[in-house]
Amino acid sequence: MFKYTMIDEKMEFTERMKAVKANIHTRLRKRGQREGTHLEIISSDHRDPFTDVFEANPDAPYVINLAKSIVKSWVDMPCVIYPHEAIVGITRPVTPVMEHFSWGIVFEDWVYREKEYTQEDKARVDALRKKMTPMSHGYMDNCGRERWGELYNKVCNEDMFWAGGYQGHTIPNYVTLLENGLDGMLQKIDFWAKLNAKDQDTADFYEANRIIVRGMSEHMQKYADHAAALYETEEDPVQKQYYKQIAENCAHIAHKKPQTLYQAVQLTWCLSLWDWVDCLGRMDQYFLPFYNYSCEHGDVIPVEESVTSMIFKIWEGGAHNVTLSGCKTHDGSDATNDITFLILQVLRNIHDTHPRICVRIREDVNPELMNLIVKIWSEGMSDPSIISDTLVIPGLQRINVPIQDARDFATLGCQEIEIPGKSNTGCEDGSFNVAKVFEIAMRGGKATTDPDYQLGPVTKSFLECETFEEFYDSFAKQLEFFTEMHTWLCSRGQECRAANHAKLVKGVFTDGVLETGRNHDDGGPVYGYGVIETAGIAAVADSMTAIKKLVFDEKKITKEKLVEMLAADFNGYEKERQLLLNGAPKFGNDDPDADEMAVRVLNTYWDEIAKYKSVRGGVYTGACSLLEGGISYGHSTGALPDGRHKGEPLGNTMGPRPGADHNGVTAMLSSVSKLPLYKGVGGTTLNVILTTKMTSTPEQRDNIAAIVKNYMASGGQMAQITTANVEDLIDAKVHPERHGDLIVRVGGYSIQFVQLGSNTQDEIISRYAAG
Amino acid sequence: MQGVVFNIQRFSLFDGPGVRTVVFLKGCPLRCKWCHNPEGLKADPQIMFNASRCIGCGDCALACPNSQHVMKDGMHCYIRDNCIDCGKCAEGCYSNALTLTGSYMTAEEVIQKVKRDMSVYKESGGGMTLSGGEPLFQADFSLELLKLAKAEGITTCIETSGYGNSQKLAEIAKYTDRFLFDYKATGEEIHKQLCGVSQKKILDNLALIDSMGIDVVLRCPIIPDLNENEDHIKGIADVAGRFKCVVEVQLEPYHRLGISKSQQLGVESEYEGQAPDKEAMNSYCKIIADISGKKTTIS
Repeated sequence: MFKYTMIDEKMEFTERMKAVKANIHTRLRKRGQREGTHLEIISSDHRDPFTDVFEANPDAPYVINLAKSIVKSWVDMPCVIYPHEAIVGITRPVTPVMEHFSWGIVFEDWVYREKEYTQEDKARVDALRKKMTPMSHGYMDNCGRERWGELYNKVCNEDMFWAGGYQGHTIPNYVTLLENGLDGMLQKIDFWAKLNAKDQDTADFYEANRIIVRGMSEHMQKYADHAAALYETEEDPVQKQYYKQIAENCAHIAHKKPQTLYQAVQLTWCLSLWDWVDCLGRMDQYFLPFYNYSCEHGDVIPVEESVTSMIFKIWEGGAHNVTLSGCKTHDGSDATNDITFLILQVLRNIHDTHPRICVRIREDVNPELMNLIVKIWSEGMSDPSIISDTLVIPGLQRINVPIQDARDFATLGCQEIEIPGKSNTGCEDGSFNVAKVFEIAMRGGKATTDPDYQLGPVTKSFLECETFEEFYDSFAKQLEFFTEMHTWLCSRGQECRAANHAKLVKGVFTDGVLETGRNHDDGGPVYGYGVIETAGIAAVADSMTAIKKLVFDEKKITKEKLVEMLAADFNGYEKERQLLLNGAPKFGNDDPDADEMAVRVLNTYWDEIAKYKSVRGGVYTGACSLLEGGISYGHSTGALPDGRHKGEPLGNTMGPRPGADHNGVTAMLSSVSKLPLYKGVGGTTLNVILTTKMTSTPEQRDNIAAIVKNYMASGGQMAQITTANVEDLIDAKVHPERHGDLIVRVGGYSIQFVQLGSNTQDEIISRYAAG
Repeated sequence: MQGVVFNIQRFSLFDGPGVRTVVFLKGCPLRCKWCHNPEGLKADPQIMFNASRCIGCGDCALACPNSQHVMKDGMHCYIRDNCIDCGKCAEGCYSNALTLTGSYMTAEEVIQKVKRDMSVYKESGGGMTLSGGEPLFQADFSLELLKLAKAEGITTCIETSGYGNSQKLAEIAKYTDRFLFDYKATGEEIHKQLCGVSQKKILDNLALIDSMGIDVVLRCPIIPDLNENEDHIKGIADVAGRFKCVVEVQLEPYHRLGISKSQQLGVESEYEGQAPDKEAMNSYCKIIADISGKKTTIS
């Protein structure tokens, strides 16, 4: 029924695509990096486009200068067309001044350390800094100090949260781009400007939008001209033909809307380039009409080469996320198509850490699709990740997203959720460590870095609490106070981005921006709910469980002793630490008490943030995909009653704290699926580690497919599968103390966790994680 | 009715079709030299001591009624010559260095735990597998577990040496969807030498299952120096071919994962070898499949 569904063998690339792939490999190896930009510094004349434009137009409105600078940064760059490639356009080099969707204009000061840039150059930039940043990046901190004074500084010392930092993954509306073409976008801008541009600022904003679109046309026309020039001088007849195709293709989409797939991918790549090769959204959906057209009417290059070229470009560019499959928006039916499979086959063939791809799983997921996904995992890849339609769609409806938009959700970054083409979800507005608040609650609201300072409200300290509920209540009150502070700061950070027009390029193509005349960070997009990354849930839940059971219920440890041993980081209290570790159940083992506590803690926090709205217009929602956040917050969190030492990682996913789960994958998934993940529409991550033996035969792959399908259908949200090598794991049994939560499975063999040892997953994950 | 269970293991992928939960029953009449579940041999709960987890707190020495734990210069020594496996030391061992393997459970309690992965069984075609130890050693308990599982709509497998009372086996077989039946050696004398018991009853029981028409996967551990030889490979092929009920043969290469468990039980493992050569295993697979006409895989 579908094409490109091959399982046993890999899809064969054409000779042309093989050549392109080889070249990309070489470049990646040489460059060593890929994220969004070629990190070479153009050393032609020490100038950067932003300084040039702002210097030349000192009295022009900021947003106009910003737009012109961005255009200049693309158009002034030399065109580079690599041999054999079908889609063209390379990313920008880093210049000392450039724009980024998180901030507006950023100053890459480290570039000054390179020889090419002199003190004179630096002085030119410094003279213009204020003009280039209408709102200082320090605005949020200033607001914090203004509102809370000394308290704000003390809070910053605690490393409890961050706000106003790197954010901004969001998907521009590729459907709008492809349906209109660039000239069509100009018409659209004119239409809305006529309705809305009642004052100069708004008129300037629409003009800035026009400048961007015209700039993209100019950029593509330059490539068309460059390809035409190369055509004249090229001797190899095959490459000559390629240049001709490229010239015609770029010339067409420089102005007109695409009709064929080849045209569509070039235009898509153009926007993606300008968008820092961020997230691409539901690529298999928006390419479908063009794919169908080209299949029926023919195309300049085969459809496989168009799609492959697109994936190659975002592979080299380090794209953050492509979302596949899911359901059709109008009726909820299966949206899987040929392109879904084709993209997965290209991903499989590339066999690298990029592009990041996430497949949406419906309850009756196409079996061929599931088989291909598990086969790809079995080949050692941790992409694609998967996410549950069953859970996410109702979760979005719950925050007032209508069904058709909810059905259209796509994934971002690492990984968050949004309605593509019409959202600014913060992504992320901020992150928050509940374990730090737990520590503060233990101290009756006093700071951990300054034991005499009353940081939060005065609540009963742990020692003063007579019952567990009294302590939980103290914790909840502290959480109330700091959540209000944090979300307030997140909104200030947002105001800063809005003032600096951080997402000017994204905004051109995002529903709601042109329609309202408000920029992307200023409430323009249709959906503006917020996202707060949440750290420390499992650690706090397990700590609460331990306190309730061992201190209050069984009275095996006194309150005083517990406080003592935490302060000592368990030095001299190893026996008690072992009791805390082993004498109370931990989240991730399908234990009803431990899991109930985890649900309670998560509800407490996510219900609290939902009381606040982002300045973009929607409530704050929970998320949990922290990357290194679990480790860095872990560094500044002290010893906890779950038996965790001071400084140890807190965990960077929605799963159990590393090393705490020891009942196997089905138990762990069962625990996680009890959490209210439907409230976490910011997007949560979960790592599942398997051995190659578990995916080595079709029967075993069916088993894994069954487990993940069951998880997706019964409360699970997202999963990222990593396959480790079983020989290494069995060898590691020689050192059992290092691998307490080994999930080795051998027929007829009984594994007893307690016999294996007590340490964390760190070693095993870092040693054996695939990819 | 209570039985002695030493593990209930979820997410088991190689103990029957689909994703299963394996219930390990304590006690086994065989004494195979390569046993990888030595904690399943004795019928009663036993102490296991994992020295790497010991934190030297000395609480076990205080708890033991028979002075089996001694603290000397902060170091713990487990004498074990008079240990009655009462479990008092394990009760108070916070680090789980000392644990009591094997606990008394009712069949209902076991099934409650087995039911936790019901939706996974449905999705994957999995269910419950009895193993051990030797399930036939606690035949009545096994029968009750199987009946309860079937009543809940859970499919059932048994991993067994086949050494047990034939009448009880016949009853058990009525509630068993699939047998994972061991074939460990060829020749009565060799079987006694390697496994400690006669093979006659085992083969009789296999014939019984054959007459009842229940699917059997023949499970064949391949142990270098002990049974890895031409005679035994041919013996496997012969048995696999002769019995209609055998739908598949699984060769199980020796592995060393049981050795540390023996150490923790304070017993010497009788045999510590290396895994058989991969190439050789592949060739055995082919030979057995060719001769018996049955699907043969390496587990």
